[in-house]
Amino acid sequence: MERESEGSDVKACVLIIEGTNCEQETKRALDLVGISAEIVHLKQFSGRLRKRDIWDYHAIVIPGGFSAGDYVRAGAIFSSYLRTTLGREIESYIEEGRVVLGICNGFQVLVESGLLPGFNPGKPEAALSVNTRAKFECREVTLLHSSEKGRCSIDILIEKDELIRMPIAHMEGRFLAPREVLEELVSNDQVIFKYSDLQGEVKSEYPWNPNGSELNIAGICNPEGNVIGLMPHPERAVLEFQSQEWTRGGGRRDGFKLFYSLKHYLNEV
Amino acid sequence: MFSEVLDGVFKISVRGRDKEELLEISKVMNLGLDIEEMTRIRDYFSEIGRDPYDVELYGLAQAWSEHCSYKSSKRFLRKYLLSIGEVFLREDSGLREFDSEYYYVAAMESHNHPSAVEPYGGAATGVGGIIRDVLCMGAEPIALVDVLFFGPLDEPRNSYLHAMVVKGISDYGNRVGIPTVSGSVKFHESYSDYCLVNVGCIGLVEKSNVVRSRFGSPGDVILLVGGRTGADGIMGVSFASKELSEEREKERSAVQIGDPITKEPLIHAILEVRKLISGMKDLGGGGLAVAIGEMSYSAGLGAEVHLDKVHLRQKLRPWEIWISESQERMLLSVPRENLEKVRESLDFWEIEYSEIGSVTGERKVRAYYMGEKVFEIDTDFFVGALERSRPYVIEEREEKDMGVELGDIREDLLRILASPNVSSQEKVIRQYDYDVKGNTVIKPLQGRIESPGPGDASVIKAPHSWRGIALTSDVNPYYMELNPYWGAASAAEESVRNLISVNSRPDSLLDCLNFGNPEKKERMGEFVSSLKGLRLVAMEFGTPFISGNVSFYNETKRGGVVPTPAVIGIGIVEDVRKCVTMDLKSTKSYLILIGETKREMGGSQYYILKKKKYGMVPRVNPRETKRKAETILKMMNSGLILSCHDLSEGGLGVSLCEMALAGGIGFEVKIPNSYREDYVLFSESNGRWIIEVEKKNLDVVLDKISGIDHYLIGRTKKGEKLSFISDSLDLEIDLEEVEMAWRGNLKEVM
Repeated sequence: MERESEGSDVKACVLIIEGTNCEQETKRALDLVGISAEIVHLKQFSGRLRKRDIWDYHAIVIPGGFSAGDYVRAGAIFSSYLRTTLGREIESYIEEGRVVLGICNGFQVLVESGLLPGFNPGKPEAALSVNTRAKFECREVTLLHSSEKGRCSIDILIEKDELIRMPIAHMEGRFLAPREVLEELVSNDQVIFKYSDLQGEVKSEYPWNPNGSELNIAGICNPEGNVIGLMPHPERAVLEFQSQEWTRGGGRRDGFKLFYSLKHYLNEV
Repeated sequence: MFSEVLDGVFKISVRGRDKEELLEISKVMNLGLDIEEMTRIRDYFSEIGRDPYDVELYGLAQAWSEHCSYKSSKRFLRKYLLSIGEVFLREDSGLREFDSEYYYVAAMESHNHPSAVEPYGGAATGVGGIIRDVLCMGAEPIALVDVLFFGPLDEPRNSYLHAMVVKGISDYGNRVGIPTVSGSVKFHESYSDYCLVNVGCIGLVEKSNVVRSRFGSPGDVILLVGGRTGADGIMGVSFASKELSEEREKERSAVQIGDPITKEPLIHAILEVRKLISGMKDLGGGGLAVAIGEMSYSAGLGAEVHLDKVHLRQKLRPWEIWISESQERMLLSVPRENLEKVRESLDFWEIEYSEIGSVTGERKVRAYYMGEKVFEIDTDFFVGALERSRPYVIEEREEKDMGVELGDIREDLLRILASPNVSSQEKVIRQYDYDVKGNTVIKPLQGRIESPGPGDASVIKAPHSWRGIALTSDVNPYYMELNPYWGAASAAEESVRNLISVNSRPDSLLDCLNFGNPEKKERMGEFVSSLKGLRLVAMEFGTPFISGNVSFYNETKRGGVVPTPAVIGIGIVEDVRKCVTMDLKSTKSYLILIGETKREMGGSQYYILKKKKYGMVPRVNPRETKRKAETILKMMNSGLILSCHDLSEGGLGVSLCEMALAGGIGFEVKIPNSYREDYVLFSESNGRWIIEVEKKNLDVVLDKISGIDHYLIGRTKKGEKLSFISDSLDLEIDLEEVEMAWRGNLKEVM
């Protein structure tokens, strides 16, 4: 594929461990918007083989998959490796204003690590639990962009209340949190995307809310807006030919907008 | 008869034994070898002047099992399937050209016996095995296809098998990150208490990266890479080469356990080292023994291996190490000068491996345990020698159609839409991650988001270009039951038709041949008839069978399964941006039926509904179908076709309903008058499609199809009404009712 824009020296690291499996398309999507992406295994930040340094990257993207098999809780093992490998460094990275984006399993990792909602980094305050139907669910969903435009690093090109379509594919995507955490998320405008019906009405029933998430939450950011977690897969929505209805004249590439926003953001900071 | 010569190694005296004694040895050691085979072994060892070790007998039993050797089927496969078209390479997978830089790599395999006993693990390891078959050619796997067969779900055992098999495929495929993009689930009473699990995998490989399934050169180091060897799957292939009895259902230790998370880094590591190695093979049926034997045989070389060097999960006897079928293992041959680099990659990905020996120039396979030789057999005797000539009889099929009484057509249509073989499989499909890797441009469920319909084929875009690969699968057990020849031909033809429907050019086929006991001559006859039927279509379309597998002995205490030659069709899409889906697109377009509707009701869903097991199974006219197919592809490439759907189970009635519900658009059609309206509406004649054409293009299209059978049957229209009209029929159904029936809520409609 041709790159959409050239001349950027913005670098991102697509961070994986065993069982991560969306790294290639995530790298491809980042490359497409002009962010130069490298797939890096977490152990390269600590081990002797193929050593890397997180400070060489402007953003870390944790892609989807089943890290370490997700045999404990989704994202739990990755999150614990992240702690033992990078320790406080990841928090400094975030405090410096660099971006961490978690997609699907990556979102689960960020929640398990307490980096999201991020009220008290290091302390988990929410969970992405098993879908209410207790089944893996693969489908294209409609999302309402519920926060202000530019609330976080991936929505600076997206209007408030704009409708976005992207696919989901997960077994554990049901966002749960205590009432006070939910309230704080809302009052801080940290809920970026909500599952909605095709017209943008936020409905709690299946399939519009595909997993039973509280408040229909599909994606959130931390209070500062530089750590973001999404259950849907923007990297699977960067070409119009990836969308469900493209043969009906309804081709969209909403995931592209998110990554393009990220590039704008990284160019500015 | 048995004497221990080393710790855990026995010598068995076979020389001078008579038939009864030889059979007794086969029986007590559970070798699954018959008298002819045991005699050959006796004679071989008599000639070389010693008795065999148990390691040797077990190794031979694996290599000579039906599963590994294709001893009953290979002469027929050669004659009917392997002599069609050109194939670049046919090893663990088949390879054909994708474009100037790439080959596509494809393989298909059954995992029936293990899945019938342990459905979750059996299905999961079936997926794992087929991925390795593609991977070991140096290819990156890009898609999975699964073709499943169960007994009716109102029986608890069948329902359990169905749920667990789907879960096994979903858990494994989703975890390993390869999209399951296509497949089918079929129901027939002969699969009761049993199931057929057939899986296919497709990959892409740069031409310069192809790795052969054979050893490189004498002196190359042999590495066993991946999961540890354990006691699981021991004698899995002998197990798969017998009928399943209740006794055998207890043989769960013959089923391997899969681990997708060992596999995932293994894929990274293998793709990294592929340029550094001289050969690679997946360890499948028969374990190390068969992999070493086959890699030696294909290269015309030999090997020396040390069984004590294999990394183990638990203590095993030498013969167990030799034939264990533990999952997630690959055998590599590595030129010595590249060994360090290969080690670096394997270490980085934390893949366990052991250097177990080296390739030799002499055509002999030797294995040692603690320095003692425990296996030494000529490569050519070990693998490749065995071929059996099974007697067969092809039974005449009575196909008299006694007809059915005309009933309430509206009710019949709704019941067929709701029947197991026609109704929506959305609940299964959504459990598979068909989108991972981001290349699935035509998905298994097509049309509007809120109510998609069943696509004929899915399309995967190549990451490096706009070209794509279309995938579909087919076989109709009800046709097979009545007429294996025309049933098999129908399976191949429907695969081809499905590929056409999305605008792809049929390029090759994969076959998974699930049959009963080949020692019964009627079963063998069904096998031969089916191969002839498949050949009829493949020859005309020039689509070689590039890979496949034969699974015999699919019999339970209830009897054999119907002959089931499952076919996967692979098509090449020139430009994925020109693909066509089956959902109606416009409320102002015309509907044209391509192809002739005949009274071919044998095995049709209509006759199944009426509980009639007679009548003529649909015939195939591949030459005519090819002519129609070429015309349709030309029109698609000129942008003249809005939607296209193949006609199969449930015929014209069902296909039109599916197009309407996927598009959310109504229609009014006048059905041809050639036969009574129910026959026309529900006949399953082959060689037919429905196409949707915009008004402005109608004249051009009619001109282009003037030389082929076609009927302008009606128009789409705004609103939610579907009307079928003929001289004697005036039927109007609500789209919502059709949707509800198809989605499994028949009661609410009736």
